[in-house]
Amino acid sequence: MALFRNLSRQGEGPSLSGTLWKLGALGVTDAIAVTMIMVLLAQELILAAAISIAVLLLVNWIYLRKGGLPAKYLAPGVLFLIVFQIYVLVFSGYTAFTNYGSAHNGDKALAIQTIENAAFRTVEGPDYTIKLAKANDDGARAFIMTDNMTNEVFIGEDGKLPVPVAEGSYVLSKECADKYDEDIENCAKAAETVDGYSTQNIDSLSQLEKNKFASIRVATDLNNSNVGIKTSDFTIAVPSEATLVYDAKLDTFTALVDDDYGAYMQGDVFKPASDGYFRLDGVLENEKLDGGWRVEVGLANFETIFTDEQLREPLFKVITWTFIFAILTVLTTFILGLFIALTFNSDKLKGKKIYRAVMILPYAFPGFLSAYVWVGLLNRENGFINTVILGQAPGSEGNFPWLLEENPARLAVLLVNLWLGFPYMFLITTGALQAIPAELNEAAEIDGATGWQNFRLIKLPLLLISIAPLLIASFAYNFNNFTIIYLLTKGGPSDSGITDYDVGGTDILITFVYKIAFSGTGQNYGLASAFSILIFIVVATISLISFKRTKKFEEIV
Amino acid sequence: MKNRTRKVVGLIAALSVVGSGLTLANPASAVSNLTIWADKGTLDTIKDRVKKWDTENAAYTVTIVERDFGTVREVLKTAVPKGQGPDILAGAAHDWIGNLVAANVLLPIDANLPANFKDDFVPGALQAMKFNGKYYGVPGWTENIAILRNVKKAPKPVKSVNDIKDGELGINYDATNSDPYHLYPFQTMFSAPVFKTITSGPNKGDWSDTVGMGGTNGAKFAKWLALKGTKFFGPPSNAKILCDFLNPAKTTMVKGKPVKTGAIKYWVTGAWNINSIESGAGGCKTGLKVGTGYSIDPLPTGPTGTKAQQFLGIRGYLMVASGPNNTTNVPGAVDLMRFMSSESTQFSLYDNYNKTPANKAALERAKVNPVIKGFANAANTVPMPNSPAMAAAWTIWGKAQTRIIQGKEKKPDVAWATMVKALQTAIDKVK
Repeated sequence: MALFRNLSRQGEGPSLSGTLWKLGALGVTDAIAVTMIMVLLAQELILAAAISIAVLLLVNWIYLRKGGLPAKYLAPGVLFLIVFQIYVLVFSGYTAFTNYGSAHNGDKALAIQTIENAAFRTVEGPDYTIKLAKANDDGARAFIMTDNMTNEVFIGEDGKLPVPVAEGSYVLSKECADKYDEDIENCAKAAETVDGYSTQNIDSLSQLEKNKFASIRVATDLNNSNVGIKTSDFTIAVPSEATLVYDAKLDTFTALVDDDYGAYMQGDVFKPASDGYFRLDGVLENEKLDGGWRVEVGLANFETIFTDEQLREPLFKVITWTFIFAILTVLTTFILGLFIALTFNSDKLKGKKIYRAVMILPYAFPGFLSAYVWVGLLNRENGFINTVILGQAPGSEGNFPWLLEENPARLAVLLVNLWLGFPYMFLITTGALQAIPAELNEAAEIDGATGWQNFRLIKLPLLLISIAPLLIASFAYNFNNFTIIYLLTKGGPSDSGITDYDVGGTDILITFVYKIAFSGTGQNYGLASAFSILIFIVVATISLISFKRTKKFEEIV
Repeated sequence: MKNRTRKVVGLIAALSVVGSGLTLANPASAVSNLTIWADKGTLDTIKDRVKKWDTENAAYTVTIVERDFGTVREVLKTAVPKGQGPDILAGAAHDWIGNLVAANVLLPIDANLPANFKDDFVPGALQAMKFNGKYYGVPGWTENIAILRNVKKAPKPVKSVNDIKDGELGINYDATNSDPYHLYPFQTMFSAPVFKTITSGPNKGDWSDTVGMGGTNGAKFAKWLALKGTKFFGPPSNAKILCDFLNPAKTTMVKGKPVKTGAIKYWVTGAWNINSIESGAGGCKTGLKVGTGYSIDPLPTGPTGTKAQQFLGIRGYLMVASGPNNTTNVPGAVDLMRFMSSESTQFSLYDNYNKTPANKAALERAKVNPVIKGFANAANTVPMPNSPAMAAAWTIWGKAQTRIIQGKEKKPDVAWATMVKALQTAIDKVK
């Protein structure tokens, strides 16, 4: 704080150029923010816009007022923390209690819209090429309709039967009725104008006007107002029948006809059910209408995790392998790293710096790059490992199937992770070893300890004090080591029996969750989020317990 | 400068920047913007024709946005509810339709298609764009597999699958993801179609949601797969099929053992591999030419003489629901889609990019090309199913096939029945 105060006390206040810089930066930020707010308002995202305005005002207040220096330093960090960490955490936490996923990926309005869009079926009857027109006398909107089969011309108005137009009272277009018929000479032509009506140019109509034309339903049967000739693209009109009607007040869909697929009968009423679908009478087990929305489902996702029979076997397998993978990775990398560190710690070794630099190389390369290189090295038929190191015939299909079968793939994943991970362990153990006082070593030797005893009883316990927390961190990291698994094997090979969950031999929990969320059978973000929460609980519990246990090591000293 | 003056200067500075932001955010809206999403390959293929439509239709400006083929569906599902979706999804595989309809992202276009529109396309092509009785798009181009034959190694077309000996067949299937698509002809030799077909009503002939490959026919197929095994189908991930198909058969010694190479006489594949064959890509020197070097034959019949069927895959243009209450662009989008499905466009896509037209008239004109003709004549196709559960189906179904071929299932018929049950469960879950 003293530093801050000193800074602001320099001279009479901030310099002019400093102030201008500050105002410029603030102006740019404000401009971006205002643009963003306008976009949000245009999309009617009122809440988001309100929050943005509040934040914008707050930021301006923080930077324009005098004093309050800590806030000026902290504001950007806190804002980004809220946006990129806290919001994300809260959102995925919330998602775990919803059915958000492929079939429930929007709000209810979107679902209603979808059902309404598909709530018709085409019926037998002639279809027409149309022009939009208005009557010259009363301005009534009408279609100039030319039957695509017989070339007869009609005038169609909303709710009325089409009225035939006598030959001579209409003028045919010069172009083909079907725009994409290229036989101009012989193709059918549609009527363009009819006496007493003025044809409208579609491109110059307002959206409101277009909507009015789109709502015209020319009757085909005066006793049945559900059937009619409609258009939605203003060039073709076909007879169709409404199948479902939505009642906004009651929030229900009523079936007007029997469904072709037997999904409903005339008169059936569909009400919103608790699973985010319109279902017959609103009862969960009943038939539903296609078009779901996102709803809160309480603990249903967690229930699926613990009760779904199809999930049980793969999940057990994945959990077991996740633990094996994380534990073995930590153990192997630690042992190899420690061994090399001990070796290099010897005073007799020459050229240590070069060796150490070489040892750190795997750690210095980006992990995903190494993973891809390893995929090539481990190729069954032409990979370096098989053809050179193991001396198998290039191109032979009998070679060791590194990434193609379950157990070899697991071995490969562990080996590659050992390669990627040991330099880190080597680094930290080297540091920790050098921190152990040389006197302890000498004292042990004088007391007659063998090298092994010296290591096991003196060095290792001392090492573990400082390294145990890092081992735990390494465990937690590898428990969720998505990169290595996904880049090496994509969780495959898919060789784990036959279930309707896509799970492979090297899938760890986090890649399994990724597959549930983003691939295959349809995304299920809700279930995936529930899994993430469970993974968090597992990792947190293990870390907590282990951290408590590391205190034991400290008691030794 | 006094503090107050500074603040005033600051406000003016800030406001002037804000002002420039305002003008940017207020575009003129005389023309409607149509947006198409397409993968890289599709984008290159369609861009000239889309541009042509764009210049002919002054009321619209079309933008094509490149999207990754593998992830475009997920992106679409998140974009549409926010009103950020495109108007048209181009180059979409038709088996995506059910999945996308269930996610509320597509719009039916039945009311925009004239009754005789069906007649414009090869059988099954428009039907493939149909889901639950409604059309959600128009076909762009078609893909189907046939059996290619190296005429030097096998002078006559193979009539029955019984006549193909172990090691003579090349087929793609993968140990991880497997490939029911390429194996489907063999499955239909046992009359075990993937789904049952609807037998009555207005949607007669469409796929139903009931898995049809169970029962005795399915069991027979499973046993046959196990019997033939990797000896017949080869090991998975066989990357050298191409070379082996092109090269003359010979025996070479590998580590003192005789290994027969170049034994593959027949190759089950589609038109997408023709370029590699004719250019002899991948270090395989003998590039063959259709007619003289290899021929494109219809699929052989099954062990009991049943005719094999292959899937018809359609890449098409799907109508995207552009979010709640937004139908402004529908007329333009439908018109553009009809333009893309017209004879002239589809012939042009064949002419420039070798896409097999789905449009009947365009296909007739394109048949001067022996490759197009070969695959069209070899077609005894059924459209690939487009149920929402297809994504899951491919995995479960293929996994079972691969395990059986590799001899990992001691009782192939039981494993097959397990797979059928799991698949039905997955489908009912989506239903």
